[in-house]
Amino acid sequence: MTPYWHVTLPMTLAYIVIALVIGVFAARGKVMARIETWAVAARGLGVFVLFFLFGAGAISAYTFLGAPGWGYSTGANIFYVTAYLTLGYFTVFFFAGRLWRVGNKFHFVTQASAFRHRYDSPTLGVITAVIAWLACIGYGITQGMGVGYILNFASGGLIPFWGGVTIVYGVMATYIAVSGLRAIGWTNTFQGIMMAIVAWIAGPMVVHHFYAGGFGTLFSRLATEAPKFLTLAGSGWSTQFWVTCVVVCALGIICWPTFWIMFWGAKSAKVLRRSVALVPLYWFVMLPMIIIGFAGILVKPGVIPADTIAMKMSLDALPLGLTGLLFAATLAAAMSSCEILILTAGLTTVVDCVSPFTHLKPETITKWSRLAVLPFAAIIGAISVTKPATLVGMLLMTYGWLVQLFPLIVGTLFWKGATKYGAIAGTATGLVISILFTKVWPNPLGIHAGMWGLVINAILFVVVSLLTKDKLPSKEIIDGYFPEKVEA
Amino acid sequence: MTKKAKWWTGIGLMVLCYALICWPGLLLFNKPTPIIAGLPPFAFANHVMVLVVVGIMVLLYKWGVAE
Repeated sequence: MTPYWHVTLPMTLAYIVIALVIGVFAARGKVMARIETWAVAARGLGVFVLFFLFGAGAISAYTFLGAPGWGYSTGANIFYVTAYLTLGYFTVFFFAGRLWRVGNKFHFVTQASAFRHRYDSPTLGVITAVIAWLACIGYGITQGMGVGYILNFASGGLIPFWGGVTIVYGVMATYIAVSGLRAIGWTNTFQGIMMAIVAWIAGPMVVHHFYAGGFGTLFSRLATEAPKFLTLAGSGWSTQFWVTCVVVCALGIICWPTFWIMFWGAKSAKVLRRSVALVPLYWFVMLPMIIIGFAGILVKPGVIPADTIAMKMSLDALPLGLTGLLFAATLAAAMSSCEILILTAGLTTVVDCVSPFTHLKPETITKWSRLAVLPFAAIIGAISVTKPATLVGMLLMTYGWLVQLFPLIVGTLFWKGATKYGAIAGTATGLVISILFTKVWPNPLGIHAGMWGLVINAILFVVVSLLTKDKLPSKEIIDGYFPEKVEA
Repeated sequence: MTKKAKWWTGIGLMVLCYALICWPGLLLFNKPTPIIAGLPPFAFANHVMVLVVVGIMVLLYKWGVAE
């Protein structure tokens, strides 16, 4: 009998080559010497590409590996993912139009530059750039771990974990350095379409293989034989943890520095708002993959690590060709989320941490930003190889850090009285509390660490801003952030 | 209706969706049966809410909220 990897490995590698070609050719006909052309696709993306940029960008390795693994090992609490992504985009809807106009008016390409300008504080620019790094590296690691698992599995162990990470991160860094956000937009479109088709073919087929009546039979059996997996209490999360998890992650979406770059890639505020309103439809891609995890509870107990359950179930249930496609789609999920993280980390380093203090020429900023993606891809890949936590666990930790930017964003766009002192005091304190309540005293009273940080952060932000109201930036700067002054 | 009133109506709907997704999901649908459309109640309610939220956002977009 032919070993499975004789089929799955060539298919997975073929997918990587296709992604490389699409990514490199995305720059065709464009001169990437200007930072806005490379970093935000010359602010020219339409609804179609944006839909997949947001959709496929949010559906990551944790969807194809972590979410089935989480459903398999703990059960119903995994549906927090659908809940927070949906609510998160509803929140984004209210910020998107204003953010696009501000970015277009001031020619911003990174989130930290907007904060630096609005609060008239290079220090705040550096602090928010560091938070961007932490988030990008933290989330990038989850994708790197996904990549390592997939290629190791698809090659039947022939490609070691570190080897898979090296190949994929090398390929991504290459096409991002060449084509910037255009590469990410077009590869995400390809990856997004592939993920949707494969998930909705493979998921039901795997479930039907093990449970003759499909989803209904599976959940009826679970309700009888292992009902605890179908409720929150049984699956180990308290009510308050589930609620605070959903809220922290939903508010955290607008805080991602990666999303600001994508927002600023839109053709207009209207195009951006239309894309944001439709994106949650894409979350239906996750459902069949999560259900594969539930299907494993009764037929494959004891799989370790749980994150590999979807791949193990697929190998047993699907024809080899389809398994190969599923591996490729899973890799696509990891890559589609990681690309923008690498771009953001490199870009923000040069634009927010080097340029403000060295006054680089515009063409030098572009050149250095494109080169900076290479070391960041290497750093994220290298940490991924150490497999620091489960995929979903890493994601939850990252959101706890990132949501600390939420008061700062509200202050930027909706409150003229916000000062840099309030912003620095709130953000720094929120971040420290979030880290302490994650690492030292995990989630006190069953409330997500990020929520504790956020509440204290918001209070400090308001109080310190009021106490330092004589230190506001100039009226001209602040007025630039309010709709009556911001031209479309 | 003024732009401000539309804005606050939109925010009110968003807060309502936050509340609906968290609380009814927990109190009404947090149980193993009945299986609805092949899904347990909790999963079914979550995915219905996705459609509801998209519907509301499309309406708000057409209404010119948060332009």
